Amino acid sequence: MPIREVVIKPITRLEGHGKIDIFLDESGNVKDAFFQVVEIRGFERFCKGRPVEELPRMTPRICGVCPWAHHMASAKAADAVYKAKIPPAAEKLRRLGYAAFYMHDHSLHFYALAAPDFVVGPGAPKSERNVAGLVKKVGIEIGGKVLRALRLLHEAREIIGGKSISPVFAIPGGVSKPLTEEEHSRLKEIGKEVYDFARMTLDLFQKAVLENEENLKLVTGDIYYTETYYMGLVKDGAVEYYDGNLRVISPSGAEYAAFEPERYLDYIAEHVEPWSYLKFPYLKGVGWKGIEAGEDSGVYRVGPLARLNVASKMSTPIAQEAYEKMFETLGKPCHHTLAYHWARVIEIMNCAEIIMDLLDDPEILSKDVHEPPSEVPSEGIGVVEAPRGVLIHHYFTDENGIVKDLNLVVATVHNNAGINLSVKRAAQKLIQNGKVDDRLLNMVEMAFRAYDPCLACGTHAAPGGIPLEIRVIDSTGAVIKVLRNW
Amino acid sequence: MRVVVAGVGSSLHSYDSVGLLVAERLKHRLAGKVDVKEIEGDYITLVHEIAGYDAAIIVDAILDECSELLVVHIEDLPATNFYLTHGIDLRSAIDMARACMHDLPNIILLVGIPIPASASCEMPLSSDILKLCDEATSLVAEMAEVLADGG
Repeated sequence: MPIREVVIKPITRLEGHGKIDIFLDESGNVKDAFFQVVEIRGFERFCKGRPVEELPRMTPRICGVCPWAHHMASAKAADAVYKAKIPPAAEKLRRLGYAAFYMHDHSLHFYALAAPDFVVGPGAPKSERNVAGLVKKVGIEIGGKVLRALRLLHEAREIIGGKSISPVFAIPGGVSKPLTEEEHSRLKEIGKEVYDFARMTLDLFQKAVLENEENLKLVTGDIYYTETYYMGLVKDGAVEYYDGNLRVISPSGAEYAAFEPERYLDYIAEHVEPWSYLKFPYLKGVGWKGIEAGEDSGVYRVGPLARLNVASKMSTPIAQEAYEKMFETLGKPCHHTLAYHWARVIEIMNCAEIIMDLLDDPEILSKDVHEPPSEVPSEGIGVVEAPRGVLIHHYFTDENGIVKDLNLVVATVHNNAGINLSVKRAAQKLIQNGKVDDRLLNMVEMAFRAYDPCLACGTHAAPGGIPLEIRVIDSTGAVIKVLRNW
Repeated sequence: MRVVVAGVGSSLHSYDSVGLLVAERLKHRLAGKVDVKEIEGDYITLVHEIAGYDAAIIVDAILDECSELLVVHIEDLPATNFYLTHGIDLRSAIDMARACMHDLPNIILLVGIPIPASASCEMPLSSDILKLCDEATSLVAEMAEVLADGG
């Protein structure tokens, strides 16, 4: 059997790549910067010709990191295709599983990708600016709690969804199984522990970021500052992940629109640039004015910061306190891109509280969790907030429920123009007179990372994560610096 | 010695499913001697699935133009320093788990099945890749049995 030495190669689920090209002028200052996705694998083709009830099980496989978001959006779209009303207990179970997923996803991003920049430092050597470096700084005890919380949340997702990664429980008309008393007891134990973990995460953010002068300056400074519109789901004025109406606010904070998600095509159009497979959605009423910030540009952003910006409150008390503190510090609407991390941490707390509230609700144990659809299927739209922002599944079927066409608009696509703007702004502020080094390029990448973009979802690519390359190109067209994440 | 074989991949993505394929084939062959798991998820999930065992063999696709299997101790993988756009790479997940968990296997081996960068997820597995899956199945079975017997 042939056996050979290991070589430096990324391991699996990497396909195609994202690219940030930074163009310098004759003085060595940044003239332009573009975030490009140069790979596409249309996932939609897998779905056409399939029974629509299969899609909630298929679409989670678009991405190994965002499966529950696709599961939920797909199940809601399939409900809508059949005009099915789901029982209250089914909705609560969906919300419970989704909150556990959110906590897992946000926590993984915060601890693995965001915190190393703040805790280890953006200028630390690459070999230390990672989770192992983070553990060294914060200590094994906290590192252990992070891993344990991720494990518990994985278990919770498995209990609720049948499978943790590719859930199989949301079906048109409800969910496939009720919660048993035994499962409920175990989830209560998990809920208590992850609630404490969420409190710990809020405290850690406070100490590592807000009480650290250099980090606070990064968050509140002008390197990572972009004024755009924001869009997100809102229910009764509060941040919402599963349901509600879409609300859009302008850069000044005024309400631009509030509408039922089913009317998304009245408000959103997509612009195509020849240099990227990722489209550029924009607000129809404002218009596409290029990749530009401000009131006159239809560019909008989604995700944790957008959700908090468009809402007037959080749905739970501890998260509400943190929400108030954030906007007292940064103003509202907040245009500081690194505040995406702050918003993410607040949502971790919010989801922990939601989990506890739902588990205290006696209806969560109801056996009435499915109402078989009886209408003739046709067209349906399902919208949820993925951790990265608004996720839209729009299906068209024949009268037998066979999918004829579909449209998936994912968070990273909504944020495409915003990411480009943020990267360009950071590059312009950081790279001057031709001086470029790994530290500065990492700080440029921080602008990108704040969005927690999912290029696999963005291109509907298969499979999974995609490597990112940053290139700096001088005025003669020569590539003078390359930073790769693989 | 308690041994687990973890086949990693995505069942809907042709070339990325090879780890799952090998695990599926080994389930019956190793039944009663070694636990075999099929894992569709990130590497944090994998870490939790192999915790509590004495030895783990991870079978996964790797991007490589070579036509031979890669067999390596996880600690001999380079410290990659690379970020996925979100998520965490295998070596970092193991490093973090080693630092924070007490029940990670002492022995963690990776068996990598090379797939070329040009491979498309819609393409059926080529005969060359299927042959490598056959080789990986035999190799992993042999390694797992030796480890389970205390070797």
